[in-house]
Amino acid sequence: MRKGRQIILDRVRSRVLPDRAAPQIDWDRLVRYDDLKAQFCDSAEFVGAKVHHVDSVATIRRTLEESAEYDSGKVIASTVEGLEGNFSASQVQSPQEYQSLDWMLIRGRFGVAENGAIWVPADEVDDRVQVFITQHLVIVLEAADLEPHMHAAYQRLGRFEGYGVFVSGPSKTADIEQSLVLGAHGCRTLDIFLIGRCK
Amino acid sequence: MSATVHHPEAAKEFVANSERMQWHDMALWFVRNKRDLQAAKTPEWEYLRELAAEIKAHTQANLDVYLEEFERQAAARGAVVHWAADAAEHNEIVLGILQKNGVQRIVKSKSMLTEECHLNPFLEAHGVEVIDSDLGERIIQMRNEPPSHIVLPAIHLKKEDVGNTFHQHLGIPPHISDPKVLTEVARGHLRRKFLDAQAGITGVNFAIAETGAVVVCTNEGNADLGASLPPIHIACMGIEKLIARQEDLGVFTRLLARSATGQPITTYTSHFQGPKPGGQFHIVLVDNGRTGIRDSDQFREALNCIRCGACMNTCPVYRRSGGHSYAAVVPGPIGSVLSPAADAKQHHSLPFACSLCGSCTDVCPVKIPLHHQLLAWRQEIARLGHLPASKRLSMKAASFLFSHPRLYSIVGSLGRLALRMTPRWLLYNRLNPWGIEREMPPAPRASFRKWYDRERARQNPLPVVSSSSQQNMETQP
Repeated sequence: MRKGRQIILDRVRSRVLPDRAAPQIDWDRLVRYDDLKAQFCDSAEFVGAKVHHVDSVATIRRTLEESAEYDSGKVIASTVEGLEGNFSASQVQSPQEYQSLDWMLIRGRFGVAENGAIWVPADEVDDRVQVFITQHLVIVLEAADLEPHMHAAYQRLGRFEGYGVFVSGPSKTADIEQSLVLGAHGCRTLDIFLIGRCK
Repeated sequence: MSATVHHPEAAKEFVANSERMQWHDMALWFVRNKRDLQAAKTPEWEYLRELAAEIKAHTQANLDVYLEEFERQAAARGAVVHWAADAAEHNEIVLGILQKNGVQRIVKSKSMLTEECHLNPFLEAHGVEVIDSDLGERIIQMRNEPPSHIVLPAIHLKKEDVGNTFHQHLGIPPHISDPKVLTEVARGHLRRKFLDAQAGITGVNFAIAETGAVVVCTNEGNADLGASLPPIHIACMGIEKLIARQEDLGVFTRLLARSATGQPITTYTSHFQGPKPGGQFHIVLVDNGRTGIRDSDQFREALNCIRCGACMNTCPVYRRSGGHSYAAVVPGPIGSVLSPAADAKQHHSLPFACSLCGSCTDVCPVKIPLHHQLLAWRQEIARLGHLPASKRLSMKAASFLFSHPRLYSIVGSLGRLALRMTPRWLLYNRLNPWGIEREMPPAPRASFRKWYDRERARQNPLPVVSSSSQQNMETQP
């Protein structure tokens, strides 16, 4: 193990390259959106998500119950305060036990207007596998928490601990003849609930 | 495995099925179009490409510093960092981790590096079951084929082929070809493999020196299932995947999926910093020839590659010859640059599988001057003596001809005469590669020079060019 390390570093150091400064991004050259919320919704729908506009968490369940896939008899887990599920993570011993999840309801920290991505750090869930193993994913997001693009997204993130993922739409594949199929290995559908107005 | 491959020979079978070839061509052109739409919708596209190239150049210049910083940061977060000088060492490291933990079943997400190192056959020979979890990769794994594209590994197959494969290997009824149904079958099959796996191997799209993070981009969610269900996650990466700062991800996440598939970003962009609670996280840093490419002023920028596949989707040769004709882990323009660096003799024909149209260079999100590098490889391969005699001799003859204007003029008239007079059977046979699958051009009555003398020379005389200042011209065989 030490062998490979020394070989690689020696090889790299044996060839000194002229230094090139790391570029600083000129933010004036980046895209600006007049209406972050409209752009976010456009992007999210483009990548296959469904966006709902609500006033508060309280109205989310009613909207969900109108959806054909949703059924309170199914296995529903939630880490959203005020939106209870029927599956308790407290007894879970291994991540494999989440395989029965039909619905997973979580909060996202912020969304990105240019691509519909939502930042989900590990502390929004009991186990990060929940985001991927569930059949259907619901992300609740404050409309005030939108960033225009990925540069702003990473600036907002700063240094963070552990695992985090940007989720943009439901899982998908086009590996068979380039036909787009939603629901590859991860969630089959993604519903985004945007609460309130933009900042 | 290391037999010398002649691209035109290897492409013959693919090209023989004209209907399928045209379908392949159009399927990739469709992806290229989606990329164009996304690029056009991003006003700062060209600026992002410049930034990406600068970030990569900066990282290459300070690679030793950033490798050590990455190791320090990743270790501080609980990851174990391993270093492998070559493919053999990489494979031994991975096997060592698996054996130490008694692992016999693993799932693997897409990783061109592990393809390059031939990790699957190595692990299988040691009794480890390896399941490729990307849908396209799983399909070709069942068929025992290599990927034909780095982003769309099964793009050479039609849905009927996939249906047959699943019929044979997964026992579904015959003649199913609906992509939705087939994807559902694969989802069920792979779910069981994910749940059953004892370790997950993933590739790496980007590694961040300042945070020790490994970033993996997928659409299917397979990398995250494989890295989150089993207790052990092994991430394998070439050392060129390193970038200095987390903010650099802003540039690359905007370029990657737009260039690859015309999506604004991949469905999942996952940041792994340290192991999951109670788990193990191993990162294997691999050289395997990369430092050699870094040494070369001519080819260094090839290490900028973020494996988006845009150069393949746009390449007129790739689209019409298929990925397998390159007989290389990475096909297409970037593969034709990288493969000769690994073995110039074996891959000598790849830099010639190119019309030098330059489209690859235009679409490359990290500004690799691909067609310039392909041209440079042709010269390098000639210098190394790997050109076949047919090409070597005809180049010599052409060079002699071009440096003797009078002779050129005489041979030109003879050639025009010959094209008109020679019977078809003498022109269209295997000795004349220009006459295979295409018609020779109709011979004009007079040369351009004669036409010019007659029509224009009096009004607008040509500047006199001495023969010593004439540039050597690149000729196509």
